[in-house]
Amino acid sequence: MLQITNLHASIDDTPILRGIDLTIKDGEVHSLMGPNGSGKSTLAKVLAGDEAYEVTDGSIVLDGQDLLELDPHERAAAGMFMAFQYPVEIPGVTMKYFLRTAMNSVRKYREQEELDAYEFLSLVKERAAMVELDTDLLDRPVNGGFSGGEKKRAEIFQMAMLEPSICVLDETDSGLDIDALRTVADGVNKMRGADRSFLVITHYQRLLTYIVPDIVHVLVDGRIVRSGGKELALELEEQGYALVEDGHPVDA
Amino acid sequence: MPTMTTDPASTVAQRLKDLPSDALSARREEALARYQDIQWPSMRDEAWRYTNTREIAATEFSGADSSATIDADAVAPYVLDADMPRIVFVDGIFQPDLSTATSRPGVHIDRLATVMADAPERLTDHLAAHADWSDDPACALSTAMLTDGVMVELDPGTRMDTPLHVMFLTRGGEAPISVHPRVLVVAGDETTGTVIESHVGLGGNTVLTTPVTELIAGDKVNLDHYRMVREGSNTWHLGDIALHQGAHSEVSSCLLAFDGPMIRTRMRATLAGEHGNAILHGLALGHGARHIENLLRVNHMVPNCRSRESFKHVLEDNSTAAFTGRIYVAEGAQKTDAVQTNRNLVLSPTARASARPQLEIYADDVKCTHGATTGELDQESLFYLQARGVPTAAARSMLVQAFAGEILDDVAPDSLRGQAQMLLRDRLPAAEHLAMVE
Repeated sequence: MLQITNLHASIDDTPILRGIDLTIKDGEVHSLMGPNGSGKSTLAKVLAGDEAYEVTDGSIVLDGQDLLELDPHERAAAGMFMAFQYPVEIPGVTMKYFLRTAMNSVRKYREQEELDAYEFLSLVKERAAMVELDTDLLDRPVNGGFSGGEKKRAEIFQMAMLEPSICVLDETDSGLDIDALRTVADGVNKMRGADRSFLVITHYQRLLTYIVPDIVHVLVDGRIVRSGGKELALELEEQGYALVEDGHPVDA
Repeated sequence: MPTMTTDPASTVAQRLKDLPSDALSARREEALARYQDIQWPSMRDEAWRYTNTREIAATEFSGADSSATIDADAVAPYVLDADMPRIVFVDGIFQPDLSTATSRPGVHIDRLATVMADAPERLTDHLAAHADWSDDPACALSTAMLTDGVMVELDPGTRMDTPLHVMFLTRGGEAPISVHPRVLVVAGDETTGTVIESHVGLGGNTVLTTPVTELIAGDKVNLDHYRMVREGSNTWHLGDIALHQGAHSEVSSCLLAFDGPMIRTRMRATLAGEHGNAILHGLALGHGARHIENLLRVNHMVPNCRSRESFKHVLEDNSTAAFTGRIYVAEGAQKTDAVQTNRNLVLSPTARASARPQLEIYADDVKCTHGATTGELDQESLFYLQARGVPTAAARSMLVQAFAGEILDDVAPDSLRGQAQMLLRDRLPAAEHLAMVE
């Protein structure tokens, strides 16, 4: 279970998140929507531990562990996964080498046995198939020259490899055509389960047709101003964010 | 100041007297005179602004014990591939029992000592004719002391089936020694080949090594050269690599500097025939108080040639690196296409990098670019790796692997590339977290 309480964060002394309260129970899929600049991506990065942001108040607790006490790699090992909106390209290191190192580090932290080469490759094959990722891409540099769709599929593939307990998808739908969107959504849906929860951050309702959320939250100006069922996303789609921008926080 | 009882140059003169008199005697004596003349310059000398030779100048070096031998077991870890033909020297002494390379029709692999004695006419135009010893004490000393080494000669139209691995190991002794490894490659027209040098220090005795390699390529030659430097903890490595290329030739030389307190390399390519292509690559790792210096010069003497220089330095701790790259374009060498880059990754606040690009151009229709960058690790990339579970130190190391990868990926022989990748990994912090290189 992920529990975010009264979270405040700023960048260069400018407050972005201004008191977020959000609880995601095991197995639930939540969606976070909101206009540009509302702080959606900031929340994703703060959850993953990006040091560019300063947490000024509040707490983040995952399965009883205080995430704010942990470095980004420890958070990953503890079960946090954030799919980047803009995955970085790292020339000179192959995807496979990077992933092998990441897997081994995470498993070591979780006190699991390291995978041998055979186990690793079988898992790669199985999980790549889930998101229809061409395994040839894994011999290329990390995200190097990947198309937009390949990058996003590679993110979900990594998510499948690392088996997190909370998956934060930061605008995974941006820049995807409908087919790629469907493939990515299928991959995510296959990963849904009783012990895994999701926070799907998106600007548009489109993705939520394929990844159907249990609860939808609307973020405006660094605060969640409204929460509701999946129909809230449709409502927003029809009426735009004007629906909530003038409103006052529901849970505040 | 240390008190000196003997002038090192006169010691060299004494050692030279003991060498056999042969066809090269005159050139050796000339080089000795030059060495005595220039001595080891101070850092006020422009060419030696970055490298302090005071300790070298104050050390008296002797030659190695001529009966030096070594167990095959001691060499084994440095062999790239058991099947790759090799020639092994220990402290400058040829090791017949450990060497496996043989000549075959069209591909002549010989000891320089043998050629000097039996067929010196094969050398006169080439040996010590391209590595310029007129202005450099290390190269002058190397030439003065030239007694042995390896000569590879390719008859026109021949192709080496496998790379040749020339291994120069140094062990030294209680007293400081100097060794002068030498490689000469004369590639006739339309030949193809690869020569790999390894310079390996076994232990911490004081050694001065001045390796000089000359690669002379005819027309339509495809030649690759690699120099791997893994010197001991008290070895000064001051080397030269000189390329001379004919028309339509593509010659590459790649320096991989991994170990040793001082690694200074002069690399020079002369494009003497049209449509030649010179590729000079280098990767150097700075650790501890290591000092790295690379001095490059590409001479575009004729039109329509291309040169590509890419040197990368990774600097940790108190290490320093200096890069000087001169592109010279002679009058009339139109359509020259020259690119030079020097990238420094500075990982510690006390490490230092300096770069001096120099263009000297006497033609008007040319494309010459140079770029030097000095930077730290990219924070966004670092966060990406961390967010996937890679601990900070290992993530940093992985980004160093990425930086170096752009040079190592171009190392063609699999066994050498694999060795270089492993050496790099083993020298990085948190190596135990990094996956093994496949």
